Amino acid sequence: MSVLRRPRNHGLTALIVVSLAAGCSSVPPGYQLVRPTSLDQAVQEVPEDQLLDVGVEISEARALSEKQLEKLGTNTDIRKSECRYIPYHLKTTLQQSSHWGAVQVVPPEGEVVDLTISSELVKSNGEMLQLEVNAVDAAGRVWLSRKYHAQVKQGHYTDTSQGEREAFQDLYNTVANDLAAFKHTLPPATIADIRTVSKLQFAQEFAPEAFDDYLSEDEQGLVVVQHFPAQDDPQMERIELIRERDNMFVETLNQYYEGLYLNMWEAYENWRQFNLVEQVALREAKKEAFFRTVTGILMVAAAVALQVGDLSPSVGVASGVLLAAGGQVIISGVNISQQADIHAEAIRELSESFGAEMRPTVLELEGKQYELTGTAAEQYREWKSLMRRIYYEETGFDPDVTRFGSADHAPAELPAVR
Amino acid sequence: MGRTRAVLVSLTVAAFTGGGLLAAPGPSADPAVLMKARENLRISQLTLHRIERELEVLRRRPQIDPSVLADYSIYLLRVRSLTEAHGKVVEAMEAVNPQVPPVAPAASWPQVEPFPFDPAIPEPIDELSRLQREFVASLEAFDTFLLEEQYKAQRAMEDLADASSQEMTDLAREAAAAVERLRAKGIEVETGSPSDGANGGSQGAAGETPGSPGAPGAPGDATGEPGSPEQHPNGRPGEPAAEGASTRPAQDEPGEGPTHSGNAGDAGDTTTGSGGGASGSGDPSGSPASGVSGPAPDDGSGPTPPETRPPADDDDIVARQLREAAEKETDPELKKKLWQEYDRYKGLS
Repeated sequence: MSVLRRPRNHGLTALIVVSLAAGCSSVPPGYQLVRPTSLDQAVQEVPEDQLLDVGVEISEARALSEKQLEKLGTNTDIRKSECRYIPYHLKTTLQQSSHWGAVQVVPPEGEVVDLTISSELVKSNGEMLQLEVNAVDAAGRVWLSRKYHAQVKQGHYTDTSQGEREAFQDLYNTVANDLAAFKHTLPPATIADIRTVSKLQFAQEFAPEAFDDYLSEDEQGLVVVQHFPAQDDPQMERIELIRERDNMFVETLNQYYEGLYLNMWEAYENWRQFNLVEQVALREAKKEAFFRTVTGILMVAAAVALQVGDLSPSVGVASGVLLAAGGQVIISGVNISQQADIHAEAIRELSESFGAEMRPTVLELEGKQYELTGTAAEQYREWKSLMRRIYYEETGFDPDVTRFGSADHAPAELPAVR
Repeated sequence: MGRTRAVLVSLTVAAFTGGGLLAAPGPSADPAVLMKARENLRISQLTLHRIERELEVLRRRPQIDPSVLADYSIYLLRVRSLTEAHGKVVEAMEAVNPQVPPVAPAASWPQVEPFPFDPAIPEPIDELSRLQREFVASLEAFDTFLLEEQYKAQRAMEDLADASSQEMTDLAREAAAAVERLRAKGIEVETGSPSDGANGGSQGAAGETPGSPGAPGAPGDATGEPGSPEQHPNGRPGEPAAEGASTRPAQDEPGEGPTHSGNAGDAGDTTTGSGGGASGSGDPSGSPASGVSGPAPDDGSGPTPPETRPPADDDDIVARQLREAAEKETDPELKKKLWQEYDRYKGLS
């Protein structure tokens, strides 16, 4: 092997090493790097008519290949747990900011609320968290559509507090601050309109006959209020009663979400710390192994080159020493490489263990969620039917003859009394 | 219900007809019959007038059942037909008996009282009331369902808290017992430092905030690798263990990396509360049990004495699992066997 070719390879090596070192901290294109951020909290109490209720949807996990999951040191069970943990922690952060009304975690696309936040978990492994967050209000106005990239070090795990502050708190604070900042750009009348729109959307869902023409779309595609219901509209009063129950239902769901969130807090934090430590160690070991192997090869190559170029005894001795040392360095590189394998194996084992620990808990929560939402859906269907019949009784509006049982039972000679 | 009302109306009309129109045999010159016909006409006109007003009132009602309105309209039509028939009879009779003076026009008749609703006709509010009651009942049922679910969720949370609290208490007791065992063997253990895992455990038993005794071990211990400083940073859950470990005698079992200050991997050291090697070995929950519940250090009589074992740096997966199992084991006999197995696997015995 020609010595003259070595520098070229060495340059390539350096490039690879730099890439290895930099790879862990690079921010993918389109992502916003999260900086240390404190939470923007409302300095004074927000008036009631300016408080928007927020629904934070259960996160979606971006589909990753087995290889990607392994590289991250995670698995689908862990990501499923995270998809419930992340929205709940975002909820607690938003609550702490005091900018909002009721903040609840909601099933995906299941609730009519003033502001809906959805998120997609891209990557998470204790060292890094990538999250795509979207926020849309009831009128269809997009508040936020951003990708966040946060990276932490071991120190971020030192001052965590269950339910309040976690290692990636800066990311949650950033999302909360971005939302609050957008809210501040809206005039109070717009915020009041958003509340009315969501109220009427809920009413439309339960009594479309009564509220169908209360909302429309403007030229920008945003939902606008056509007219407001009367103060003492009995149908709207009933709808409000239903909405109170719906809120209670969501609160109940949130009790279960909270149970999972608190239950997994410590284990999740430990797993993330472990993963962080091992990922760093793995990277270091790989880097070290690579350096040593390359250095060893270079030393051996140099020794060979010396022997080829100069056959004097002193050079021969030096060449021998260099050759032996190079061999040793290569061997040490191989040993470190084996250590890297142990790190990788440790990551895999711990992730499997944590995933297995969380699996039954998440399954239980999912079962409970289906049970509750199923019962609620049945009740909502009944209420929709009742709202329809009550509406007919109150207004006399009868678009079909189903209320008589069948067309045969309808009065045959009804005069035009309606 | 609509059909019932229709039958009712028909019967009412039939009664009118039977009492008036059908009784009229035809034009009669008898003044008494004419007077009777005129009386029938007057009554039917009054009835018609009353029904018209009643229908007007019903139409103004906001919650009127449209079927009631329909039935009432049919009733009005029937009465109007009846009144017209009566009028024709009277006209015919007056034609043959012109000397009998006609009756006063209907407009001059005395006004009747406003419509007292016929109880035979169901009140339209009834159906609405029934639906309202149904609605309220469904709200109440749903409230009850939600309250039950909230209660269940609350119970689940309390059970979780109880389990956690009980676990912490048990661990603290075990830690305290371990300290006693060590002291009985003449090993002095410092328990006064807040960073001392065993001390935290004792305090936990007394009801203080749990956590210190159960501090999870350093993840890095799982591999037994020589850790970088990051592997045992200050402040994370495993930290107290490492500090506590410094108080124990230097009889470390294998497992701790050479760069780990405090050698937290010693499972035999129950005073450390570290779980350093133990919890890092596969317990990501940071369960403190492994860190504090171990018995007194192995006496080394059976297996290779701990200090003579090589570092665990080059442990493969099997050796590491054996070592971790031995570190975690609380039964002295089983612990001894596990170490023997570890030594045999490693070729140390």
